[in-house]
Amino acid sequence: MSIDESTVRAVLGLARLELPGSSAGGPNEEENRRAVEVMVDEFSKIVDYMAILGEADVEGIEPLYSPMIDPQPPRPDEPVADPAKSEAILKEAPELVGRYFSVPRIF
Amino acid sequence: MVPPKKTHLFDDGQKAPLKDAKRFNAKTTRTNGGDMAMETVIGLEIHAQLKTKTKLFCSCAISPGAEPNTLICEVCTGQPGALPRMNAKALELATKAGLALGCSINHRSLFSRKNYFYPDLPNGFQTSQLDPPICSGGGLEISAPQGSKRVRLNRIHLEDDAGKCVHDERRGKTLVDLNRAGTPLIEIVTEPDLSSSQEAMEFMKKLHSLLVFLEVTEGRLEEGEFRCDVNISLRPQGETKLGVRGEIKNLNSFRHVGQAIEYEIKRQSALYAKGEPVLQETLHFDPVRQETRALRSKEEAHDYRYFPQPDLPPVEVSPAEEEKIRLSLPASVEETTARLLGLGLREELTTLLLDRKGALDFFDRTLALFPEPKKIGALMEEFLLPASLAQNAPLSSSPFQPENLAQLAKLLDEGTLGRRAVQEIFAELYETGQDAEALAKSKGLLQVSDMGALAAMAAEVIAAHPEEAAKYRSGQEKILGFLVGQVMRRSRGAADPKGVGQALIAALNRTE
Amino acid sequence: MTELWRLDLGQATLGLSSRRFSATELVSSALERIRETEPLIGACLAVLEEQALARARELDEAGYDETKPLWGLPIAVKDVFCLAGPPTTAGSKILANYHPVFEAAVVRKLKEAGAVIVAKTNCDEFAMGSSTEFSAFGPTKNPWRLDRVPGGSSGGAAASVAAFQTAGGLGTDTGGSIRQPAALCGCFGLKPTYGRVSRYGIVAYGSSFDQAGPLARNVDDLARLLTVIAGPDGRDSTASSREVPDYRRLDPVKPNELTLGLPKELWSADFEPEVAKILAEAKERIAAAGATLKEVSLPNLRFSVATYYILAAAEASTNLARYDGVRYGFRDGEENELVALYRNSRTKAMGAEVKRRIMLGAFVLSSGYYDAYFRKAAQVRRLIWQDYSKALEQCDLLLAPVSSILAWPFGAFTADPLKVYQLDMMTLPLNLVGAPGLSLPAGLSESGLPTGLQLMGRAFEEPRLLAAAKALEGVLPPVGAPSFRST
Repeated sequence: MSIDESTVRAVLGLARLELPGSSAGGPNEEENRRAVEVMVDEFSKIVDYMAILGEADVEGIEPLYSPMIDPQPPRPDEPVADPAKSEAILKEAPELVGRYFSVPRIF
Repeated sequence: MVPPKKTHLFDDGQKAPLKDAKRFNAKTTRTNGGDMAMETVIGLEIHAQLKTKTKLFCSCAISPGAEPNTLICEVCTGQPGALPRMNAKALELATKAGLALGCSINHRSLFSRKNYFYPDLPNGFQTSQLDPPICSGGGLEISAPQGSKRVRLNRIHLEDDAGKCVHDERRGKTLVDLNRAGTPLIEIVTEPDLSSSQEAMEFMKKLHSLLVFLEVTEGRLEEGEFRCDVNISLRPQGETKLGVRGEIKNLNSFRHVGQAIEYEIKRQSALYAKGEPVLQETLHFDPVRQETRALRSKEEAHDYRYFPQPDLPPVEVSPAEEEKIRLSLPASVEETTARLLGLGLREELTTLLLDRKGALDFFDRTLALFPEPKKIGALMEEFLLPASLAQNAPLSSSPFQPENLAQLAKLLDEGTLGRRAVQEIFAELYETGQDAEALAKSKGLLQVSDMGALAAMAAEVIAAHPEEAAKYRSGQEKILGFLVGQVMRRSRGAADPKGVGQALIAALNRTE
Repeated sequence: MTELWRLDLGQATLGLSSRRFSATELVSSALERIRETEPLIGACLAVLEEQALARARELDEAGYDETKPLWGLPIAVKDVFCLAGPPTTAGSKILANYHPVFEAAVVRKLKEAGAVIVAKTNCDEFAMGSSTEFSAFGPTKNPWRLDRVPGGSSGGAAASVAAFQTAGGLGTDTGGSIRQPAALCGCFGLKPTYGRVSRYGIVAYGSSFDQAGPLARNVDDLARLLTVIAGPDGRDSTASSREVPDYRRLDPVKPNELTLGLPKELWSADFEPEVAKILAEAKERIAAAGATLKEVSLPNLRFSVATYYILAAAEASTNLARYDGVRYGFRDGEENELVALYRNSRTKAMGAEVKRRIMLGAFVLSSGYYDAYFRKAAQVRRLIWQDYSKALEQCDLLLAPVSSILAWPFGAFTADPLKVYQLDMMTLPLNLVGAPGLSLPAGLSESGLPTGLQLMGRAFEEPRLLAAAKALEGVLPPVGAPSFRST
């Protein structure tokens, strides 16, 4: 097993995800512990499987990041105004203060 | 599979050739630098907002004063399914900046996603360039104590700006405005070639006037359109390895750049003197308290997980497009200065023409109509530039145009108008752009240059001052100035001084 | 005029153009069929009854318009296409109440062509999955056997088309998500060349893989739909500028004019016996019709599952970073601290499979692992691309199975995500390469479940693909209508 719990924690941190049950705590501690183990084990198996790429001979091979062919050229610098759209966007916001998106204070 | 090198997951250096290139990787250094002479090493990262009408990846307009969240669409707010399409003008401006700074243009560069979470970053990633950027290398000459010095550039890359956070103390909230999100920027990264706050300020000012002159950026510092991160470290003189750096973020005034560097030199020197380690950290400069402070360390170290942005094709600048932009470049500041000095302008005037927006263009257009550079230059320096400065308005917004200035210069040259007359009517000319000759005439300010009238006045003055006339005739030619003054007085300033001189000489010679 | 829902798109167009029935009648019939079959299969996340009827009436009032190739035709779209009306969820709780502020390019094109969108079909959350079991709103059932999955991630669209709810639907195919459910549900599905169809307005999963495409009950209907949705829209930079042919007017090809390459690495997979039997029979029929079958090799195919999951997960991990509870979507309202708000909103509203892929993606891009995983996978991607191009030098098209197993019982693999990834082995290579592929029914098993074959071509060779598929359509046994058996 190549992946340990600390790596899983680090990856979850990067991805802004929680370990199972870590915000709940309390009586389900044993259950949470189990869930974490399952997650680490499962993730480890997946990562281990990916190691098959070690067998590929890629010496001198340029990476292929996208198969796009004849994509679109850059667009002209011409403004398009659609006031209704900004209103529709704000309507979707979970929390607004005036016309601002609002989140818990950062500093 | 070869097990991946078990480097730490958050080791920032790993795939950041940018940081490697800057060779700022050493972690901490201890020196008992108390009695050792230290030198300062500074590199700058300057963000300049490109002068485009729309954002980098969508067609929303850019306008700093707009109501919050009015200039937004699905792309710049990161809605599901939205995709970016690059602004051609931004590409052109970045290329232009690169060419003006002597960079090599990469004909094919890539956008990458730089991943981190922040409320002003709608997609959860910034679209920036890692490798290759649009421009590599290049440099800019600045004047330094030992003469001029070339500051090398590492790169210029394109990226989009984040939105803005406002902190609402009362509610305990951070409020997010995404009007600025997606605004096109170039980041200009220097090599660590600067060695003092003066040099850093000089570089930033020079770069600023160049990019404003090229119309790559509006460069309004107060709007954050031109801002600077300073990387600064100390090392014992003679040492070639770089010391541990502090990175001062987001300085948007030349003065603050100087002050922040001065403070940081003192702070780091003190640490070396005490034998304490300098920490590699991100700093914020507080202009009120005149000190730098470490930004609160983030919960997790950064690992930006850069990778090629799959929603955007490679950025292509063909050799033909590069050439076209190169040919469209106005002459460099150096070249223009040389040209103006070659035309006989004084150095201060040359600087004035280069620094004032639109002044050089005005000068050149006037010159095309009336090819007397010194005379045009003098009129601009004495009348036009002060007038536009007083109005705090660009030259182009006045009804007084190069045609008017050319006419004025010509009238002066012919002797139709005198300098005093110009002084009296210029404010009105500048306001209205009306015909100078007609205006002077209506005010009775046309110069008397009719040789008959001048001869009559000359004869009168000679008759009234026989002693002075005799002195002149006996070879004291300097006395002529007094006689000219007398004629001018008699004409109440309306006589053409050149003509007066000629008339007097003629009369004095005749009546010998 | 009963059971108009039985008509395919071609037949329905004939009826509409000859005024034998109206758009309203056709749409009403589709809605009735949906009402009747939905309780059995659960293919739709939303049925746009009022919206669709209003649109049909509007069309009827304006009169039949032959310039609109899909005039009056009811169509269902996978719920990853941004669309006005009910929420666009992508099968995720995090978007359960999300109303897009713009419409997807393909939706706009469908509407402009006169189509009437009647339903939004179910899918695995963010199109990540092969069974529709990962939809936050419950799974869809296979219309042939209600105890089986319909495949995925476009399982709702495939089940809907197979169940005759509509004659045509749109799905997306990132690693097989159109072709595999089409095969498991016994319908036709086309994954176009990467860049052939604009991705604008498709909730993104893997940006360099995602491609929208049609599902239908015959090849001609795929061509009708592709003709409408193909081409750039000016907003997807990766969409190709290549000219779009009229896929409905193709020179027919006879089976004996075809040389088909059989990738041995795919044909030698470990097949479920019933699948092996259907495939063997299908192969015999195709050979008997005169097609030349030729073994070819894709030597790096064994790397395709790892390559795909590394690259697609990397793209997904950052495509899904925008779901942070700040601007739209689910927010955990209890949180008073920003990072906790992010973490809890995302953790509570995203399913296990989505989290797995986000984690994998963050991992393979992270410092210290990037070169060994992400960059290496991108290099192997080129190797697979080279293999694929080389194989196609020896034949017109490749012919391969779509799935090594029949539609499986619910829950069969939920404890083993890696096993499900490996099941995608047949369909992934095409997405790595960006080439077009078409899945068509190959026959029914004794247990009453369909499976399929896929044709694969070079980039932008959809015309050849469709013509060849049409030739094989006449050779392979039709699967007919599903029986909705419960076991």
